[in-house]
Amino acid sequence: MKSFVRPFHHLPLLGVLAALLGGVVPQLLAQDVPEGNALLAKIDQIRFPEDFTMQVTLTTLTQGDSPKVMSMEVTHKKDFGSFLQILSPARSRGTRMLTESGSLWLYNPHSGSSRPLRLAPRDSFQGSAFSNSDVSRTSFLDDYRGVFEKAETIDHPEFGHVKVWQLRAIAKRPEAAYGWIEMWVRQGDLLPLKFDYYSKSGLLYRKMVLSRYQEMAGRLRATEMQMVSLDQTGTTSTLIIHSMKIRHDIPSELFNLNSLTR
Amino acid sequence: MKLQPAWLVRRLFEGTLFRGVMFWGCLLGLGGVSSRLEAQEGPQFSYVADAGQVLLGSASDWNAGASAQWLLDLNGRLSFSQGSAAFILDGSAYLPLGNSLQTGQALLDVAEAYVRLTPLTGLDLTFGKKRLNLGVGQTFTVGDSINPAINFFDQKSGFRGFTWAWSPNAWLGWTGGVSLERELGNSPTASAASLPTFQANNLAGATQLTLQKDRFQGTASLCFSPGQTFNPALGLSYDLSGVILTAEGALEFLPQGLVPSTGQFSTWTAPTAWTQPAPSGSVGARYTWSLGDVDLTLQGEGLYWGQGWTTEQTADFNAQALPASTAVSVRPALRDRLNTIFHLDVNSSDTFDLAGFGMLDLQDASMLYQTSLTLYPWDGLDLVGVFQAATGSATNGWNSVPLPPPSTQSARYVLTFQTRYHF
Repeated sequence: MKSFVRPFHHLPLLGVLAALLGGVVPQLLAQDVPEGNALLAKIDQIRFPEDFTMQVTLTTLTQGDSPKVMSMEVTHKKDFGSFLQILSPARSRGTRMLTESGSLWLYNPHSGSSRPLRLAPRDSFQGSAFSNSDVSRTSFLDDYRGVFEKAETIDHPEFGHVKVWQLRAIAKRPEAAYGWIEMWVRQGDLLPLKFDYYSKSGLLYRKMVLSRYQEMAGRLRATEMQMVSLDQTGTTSTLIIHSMKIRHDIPSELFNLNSLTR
Repeated sequence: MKLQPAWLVRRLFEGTLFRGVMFWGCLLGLGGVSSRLEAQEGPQFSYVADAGQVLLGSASDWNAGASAQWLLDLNGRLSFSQGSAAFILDGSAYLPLGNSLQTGQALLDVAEAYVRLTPLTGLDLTFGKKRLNLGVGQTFTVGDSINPAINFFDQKSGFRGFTWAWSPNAWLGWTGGVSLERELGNSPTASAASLPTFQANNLAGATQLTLQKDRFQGTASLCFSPGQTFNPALGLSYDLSGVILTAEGALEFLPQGLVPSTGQFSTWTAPTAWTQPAPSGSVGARYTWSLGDVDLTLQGEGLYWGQGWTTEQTADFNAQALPASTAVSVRPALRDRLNTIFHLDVNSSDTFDLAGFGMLDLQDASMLYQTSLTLYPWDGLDLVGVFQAATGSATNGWNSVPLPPPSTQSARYVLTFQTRYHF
C-alpha cells in the first residue's frame, strides 16, 4: 500500500508542477515577455502622451562644421497628426510643418508664397540626421507592427549594463519612413533605450540612443534622443525635450492646411 | 531719399479700397470680436526678417552692354495679434544706391497687409491685401492658368479685398476672396494698365473647396467676374511612395484672348462665350533622393495654357512679323501654349543649395532658365548667386527675364549676387 500511496503523495506537487508548466508559467512569461505589438504600444506610451505640446531643441553636428541648433514647438493630437513650428534660428523661424497620416506639408514664410509645399515623410528633416517623420510622427504603431525577438544585455550610457528585450518593428504601410526598426527596451519598466533604423533595402543607416529619463507629462520619459546617421559621415543630431504638457483642448482644425499658411 | 515712416504709411494705406477694407476690418475687430479679446491673452508680436544687398547686372540682349544696379533691401513678415484678431504685414523695402553711394528713390513693395479676425474656431476673415492660393500645382498652378490673361489677382503678389478661410475639421477647407478691383486686360494693348479705380462693377473673386485625406489632396476652384470671367478648375495631388504627383485641369468659359485674323488688330475677334470653353491643364511629379548628406530633388511639370488662340492661329500671328514692340505688347494675350518645366535641386545639410530651373515652350522651343547657388557660411547669413536668361526671339513665348522687384523691366539675362542676413 505504501508503495502505491507514495506516488500519490506527490500528486499535489505534480499538480502544481503541471499547472505551472501548463498554465501559470506561460501566463507569467506572457507578463514578462509582452507580445510585439503590445510592446510597441508601450514604447509609444512611454515616448509621448496622446495629445500634447512640447518644446524641443535639435542640435546637429557635422564633421568639419559648426553645430546647428534649432528650437521648435510641436503639438500632437492622436488620430490627427502633428503641427510643428520652428522658433529659431532666424533663417528658419516661422517655418511650419503639418503631418497627417501619410502626408507631410511645409510652409516657409521666407518663400514669398503662401503655398504649402508637400514633402515626403522619409526625407531628412532640415539637414539633420532625423527624417521628417522622426520629428513629426510620435506613434510607431501607426506605421509598424511589432515582433518580439529575444532577451539580451546591452550597455547604455545612462543605465550601464542592462537587461533588455529586443523587438523588431516592421513597416506595415508603404509610407513608413523605414523598412524596419530594431528596438531595445529595458526589462521590467519597458523603457525604450536604443533604436536601429533600417531602410527598405535592408541597410542600417541610423542609430538612436534614448537617455536622460525624467518625470515629464505624468510619467518617466526620455528627454534626450541622439541620432547618428550612418550614411551621412559624421552627422549626429540630438533632440532634447525641454518641456512637455498634456493638452485636451487641441482643436482638430489645427491640422487643416489653412492653419499651416495663416 | 531716405525711407520716411510717414511715406511708408502713406504708401501702405493709399487707395480707396484699401482704406475701406482697413476701416471695416478695424471696425469689426473693435466691435464684433472685442468680447473675445478681453478673455484672451495679451498682445503678441512675431516676425521673420532679413536685410542685405543685391548687386544686379542685366542686358536687353546678349550683344548689348550690361547695366548694373545696386540695392539695399529689407524683407519682413510681421504679425501683431491679440486673441482672435491680428494684423499681418509682409513686404520689402528697397533703397537703390548709385555712384559714390548716393541714394535713389526708396521703394516699398507690400505683398500682404491685412487685418485677420477669427470670430469662430476654424474661421478666418481678412480685410486688406492678401495672397490667395488656388490649386495643387507646385511651380505653376491652376490659379495661374485659370486667371484671366492679365491677372486680377496674383497668387504671389496678392490682391486687395476680403477673404475667408473656413476649416470645419482637419480634412475639409473652404477658402475664397472677393475684390472690387478687376483687371482683366482683355485688350491686347492693355497689359501695362494700372489697377482700375474702386468700382462696384469691377467685382471679381475666387473660391476653392479643399479636401485632404491621408495621401490624397483634391481641390475644386472657381475664378469669376460677372460677364467677364468664369473659370472652374479641379486639382489632385497624391503621394505615391514618396513621389509627389499633381494633376490639374481648368476651363475658361468667357475667353479673354483675341483670335487674329489679319494684321489689323481691329479685325481680331474673341471666341464665343460659354460654347467654346478653352481648356488648360498640368501634370507634374517630384521626388527626392537622399544621397549621403545630400538631398537631390527632381521635379518635372507639363502645362497647357489653353485660352484664346489655337496653335495655327499663333503660327499665323508669328508669320505676320509684327514689329517687336507691338509683338511684346500683344504676347500676354497668347494663351495656347504648351510648356514643360524641369527643376533640379541639390541641398546639403544647411551648407549649400544648388538649384537649376528651366521652362521650355514646346511650340517655339524658347526657354527660360535659371541656376542659383546659395551658401550658408554661418547661422543667419546667406550668400546667393543667380543667373537667369531667356532664349526666345521677340515673338517667342520666353523672350525675356523679368527683373526682380522693384524694377518692372525685363532683360535677356540677369546676373545677381546677393548677401542676406536673417535676424
